Amino acid sequence: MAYDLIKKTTASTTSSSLSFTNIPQTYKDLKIFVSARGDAGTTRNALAIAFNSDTNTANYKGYEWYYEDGTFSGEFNNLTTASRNLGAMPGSTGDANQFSATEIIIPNYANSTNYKVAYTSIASPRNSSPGYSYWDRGTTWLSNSAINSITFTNNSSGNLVTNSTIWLYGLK
Amino acid sequence: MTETLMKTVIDCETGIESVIPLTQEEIQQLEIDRADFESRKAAYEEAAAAKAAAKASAEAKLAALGLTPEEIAALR
Repeated sequence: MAYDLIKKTTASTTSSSLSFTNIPQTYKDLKIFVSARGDAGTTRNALAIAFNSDTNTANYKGYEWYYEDGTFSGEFNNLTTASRNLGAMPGSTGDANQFSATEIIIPNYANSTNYKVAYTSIASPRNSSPGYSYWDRGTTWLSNSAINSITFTNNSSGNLVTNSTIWLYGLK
Repeated sequence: MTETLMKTVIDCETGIESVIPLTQEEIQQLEIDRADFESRKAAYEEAAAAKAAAKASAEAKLAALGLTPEEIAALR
């Protein structure tokens, strides 16, 4: 089993969002790696996703657990019932010179008969005492549409900083 | 000086990468999205704080009944 690199992008300037458009529909699954950092004035910013430019939060449902700052928040949490938030990335007052590491898997992204589910795992430095975040999350997009574009944004009233990088892979 | 919000778009078909200023409509949507997230986050954190307070209160009551910290931890 091997993944093809479809596209990689590195933000050359501070960006409110990073998007892949016209994603080929010829793969079975997508795998995405994200190395991101935000510039909102907190130690931890929120990385959010949108499929096909659908930013209506009501169309997403997510469940997660996370380990944060030395405490395991072991219950399945959801931000009320709907959220496009994937998890954490360092903010402007987080540890210097560090970006989050994120892996996202989206099976059957090109079918047009089922809702789409993304599994996300994130490790994110926060600050030196003792902050660190680790999130596992499932996100369901309540749409049967094939995914042809994916957008990442900083939901914490900030941007994605220069050198935030995303790799988009496809599995045949 | 007003910051110009930019977005980076990569067309997987052509390979062209563009850095484009957000339209007024996109800026408004971004502000709606962020306000929505902050509102949900605040509600979640409030609920989590209330739950933590209830847990601490319950543990204090158990301790007052004579349970040791180890016994209380075993109930978690």
